[in-house]
Amino acid sequence: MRGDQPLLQVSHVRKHYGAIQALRDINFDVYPGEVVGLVGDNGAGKSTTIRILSGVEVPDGGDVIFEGSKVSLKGPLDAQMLGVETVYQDLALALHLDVASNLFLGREELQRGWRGRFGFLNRKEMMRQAEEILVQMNVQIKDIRQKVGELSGGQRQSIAIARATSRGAKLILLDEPTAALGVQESAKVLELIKKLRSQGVAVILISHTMPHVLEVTDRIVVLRRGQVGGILTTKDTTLEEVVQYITGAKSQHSEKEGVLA
Amino acid sequence: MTLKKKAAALLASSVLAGMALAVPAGSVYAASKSYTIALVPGMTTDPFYITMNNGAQAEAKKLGVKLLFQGSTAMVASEQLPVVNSLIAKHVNALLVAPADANALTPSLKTAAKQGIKVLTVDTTTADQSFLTAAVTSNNYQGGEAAADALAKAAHDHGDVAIINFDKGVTTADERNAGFMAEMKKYPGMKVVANEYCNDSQTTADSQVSSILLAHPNLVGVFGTNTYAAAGAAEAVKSSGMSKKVKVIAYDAEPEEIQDIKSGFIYGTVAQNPYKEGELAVEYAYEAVTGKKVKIPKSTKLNNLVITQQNVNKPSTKQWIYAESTQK
Amino acid sequence: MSNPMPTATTLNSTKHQRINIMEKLGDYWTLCVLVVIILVFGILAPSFFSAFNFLSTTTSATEILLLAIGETFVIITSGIDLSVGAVLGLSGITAGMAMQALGNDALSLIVGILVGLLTGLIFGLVNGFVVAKMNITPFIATLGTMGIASGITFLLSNGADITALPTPLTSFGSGNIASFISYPVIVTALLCVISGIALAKSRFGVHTYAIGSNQEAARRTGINVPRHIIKIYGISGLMAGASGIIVAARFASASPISGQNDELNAIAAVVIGGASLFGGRGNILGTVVGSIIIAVLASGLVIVNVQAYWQTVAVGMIIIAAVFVEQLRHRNK
Repeated sequence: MRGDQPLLQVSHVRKHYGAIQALRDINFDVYPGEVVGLVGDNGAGKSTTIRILSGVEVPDGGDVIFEGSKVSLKGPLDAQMLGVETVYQDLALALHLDVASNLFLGREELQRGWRGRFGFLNRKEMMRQAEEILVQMNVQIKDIRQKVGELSGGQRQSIAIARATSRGAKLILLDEPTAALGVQESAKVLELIKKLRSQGVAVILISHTMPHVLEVTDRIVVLRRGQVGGILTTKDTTLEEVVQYITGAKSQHSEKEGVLA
Repeated sequence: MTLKKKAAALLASSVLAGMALAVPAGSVYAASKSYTIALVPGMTTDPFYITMNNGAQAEAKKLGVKLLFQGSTAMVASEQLPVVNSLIAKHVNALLVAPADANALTPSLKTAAKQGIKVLTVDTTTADQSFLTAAVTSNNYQGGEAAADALAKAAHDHGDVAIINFDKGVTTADERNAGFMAEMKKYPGMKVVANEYCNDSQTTADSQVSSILLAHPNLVGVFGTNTYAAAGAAEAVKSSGMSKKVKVIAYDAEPEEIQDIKSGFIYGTVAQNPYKEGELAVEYAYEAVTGKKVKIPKSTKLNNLVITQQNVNKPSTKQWIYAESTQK
Repeated sequence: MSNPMPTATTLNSTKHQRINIMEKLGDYWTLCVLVVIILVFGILAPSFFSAFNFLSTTTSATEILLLAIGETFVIITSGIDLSVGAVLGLSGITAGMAMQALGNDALSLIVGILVGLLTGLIFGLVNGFVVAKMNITPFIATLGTMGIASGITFLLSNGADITALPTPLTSFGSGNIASFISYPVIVTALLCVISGIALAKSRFGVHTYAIGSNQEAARRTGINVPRHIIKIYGISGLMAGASGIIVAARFASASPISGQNDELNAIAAVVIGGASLFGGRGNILGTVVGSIIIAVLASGLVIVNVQAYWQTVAVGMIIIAAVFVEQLRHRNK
């Protein structure tokens, strides 16, 4: 699965909020088509890392390197332009709109000619493409004219992920995608993540549900107190070991934990 | 779920049923033979117009015609027009209207006249009177004069006075003002030192009169050209502690104003005769509709009466006091 | 889909059918109410069905309907515009003053109309700016501009009506085709069609619903939310301006008290039309039905000789019924 060059490299990234040092020194990388789990206790720095990678926050120091070149993300749109899409816990779906409208929100297909200039939508084309995307991602929706508010939690999650991929994402950041879902629905979302990997899309998965992380990821980055406590290869590790890294019982580098910036 | 559905259905149907029930049973059929006259007041809640309705109803009963009283709660043309239009659609025989605006209703009233509905104005009137059968109103000019006379008499022809108008550009207000100003010139010892507009606001009148009291120590009287203007003026005079010296003359004879005269809060008021206006308007309308061409005067102006403590308790004054509710 | 219990599945499907009926009825039930109201009035008083009543009722509905069109856009974005009534009054006065100053000719008419529309547009854009850029809740923002607009109206007019309006304007206001359809109704219908299509068929419309449904989602997908909100309030102001001019034309005078309390009737029309004050839901057709219900009640109750006070009672009950039915529909989904 791994290519030679990492898709994303996070190098010595730091971030503080007032007196609180949220990220001390974060280093990890993600390869194309790789699913990387990002785990850690509350306050370990997962959310801040995601916010930096999605362009919501600007780091105080360190580099984010995407496809070999240093990037500076000043806003969510910068990240999206690069091909980094984030699916937040709240999914950011408009519940009153139908599936197709949600998939194309913000980049609607317009009619050709004068009607397009007046902003008339090409609903037919949007429906056709929506159908295509859902089939490709193996997402089952009875009727894409259904309003998203009428769908189940798992279906909504799938649509949010499908939307991210349909925008040509190379890297998708998933924030707790299975947190609110039942067993069957979680399984579907995990299938979808595997599908993304098979299509060469890289995924960073944030989750508290360790079995899910172990099932679907290639590597696991454990954060602890704003630093990387360890990077584990999923097939060589166990739930117990991951938990030991999370709690700090184990650490891959014992150096300078106490040094404050 | 079923319960909720039932509740929804019940609610929806009760809206309609409620409306259907609200229709007085006889009203739809009663008008078939006799004549129907509609009175659209400036506003339905005003004692002035309620009194007018009482007079009109009494006359209608006497003549054996049906009188409808329909209007809006605010004296606004945009709320009055739908009522007028509906009555035209209903094709009443005559329409008595107190227009909230001198121009706004004209196109509709003209249509009515064209359709053979007799149109009369009561109290206020329209700028274009070509299509009117008659216009019945109070003599507002005489009302202004009467107020001036009463103030001069109370002050023994000596001192400063102020006038607080309720509105600008309304015919009745302007005429009261003109009558007052003209009459005051006849008293060499009197001087009008302020001529203000309170826009129908009691609090504005209050603050205006407070300022006038400070600027003009010789003030002996204030004429408020309607209920609100006068009430605000009286409030200001009272809080300045000059009630003995400064007399306030109001307009109209609402029960509250009569109470205020008795208590001395205001000195007096110019009472109009809405009851008579209603009677006359119905009488003229009836004559026009039945074609009994007993010369209907195009314009009728009724004189007013000044009520003060001297005459407030006289039996002859009683009929001038406005009603608070509809007589049955 | 793979439900192991057959009984549960059948239960589910019957429930689903029932909901579908509810849903179908739901989209049109206010229209049914309107038809029933019209029939009831027509039966009680046949003169209700006269051409004149049609003409006058539809014409009087335009005042609220024009405001309600703009209000529909605003309410779909989960906003509210309380200033429309006051802006209507102000636009009428500014247009009237311009026309009074320029005299009775075509230039005066055109300039006057532009001034009135511009007045509305400016107030709308200010509303949008205060809501979107200064982050003041729509209720407060438009309550503020409502006061500002009505204050300026009285300052400019001194409380007096402006009656010196160009003849073409007033003959437009009282003009009609075949004593059946008035010119104001035609203009209003045209604006309804344009805004209805814009809302249902255009990108602008989808973004409007998206912002009302989930503003954060709209922002994250790259929609420029503040700019869109400013446009929406701009539309509302523009509609209030148009309504102000049409009211002045109809009444042959621009009155500073025009439009008072109209905002509440406009909001009522939109809500009766099925829009949700929480945003994301509403459409122009519903708003048209809501506005006509209000106008029909006003004229019909007078024709059957019921005190006009019943109009507000009936409208009040219909508002509550409308929201209640909408709630039932959406809770069941």
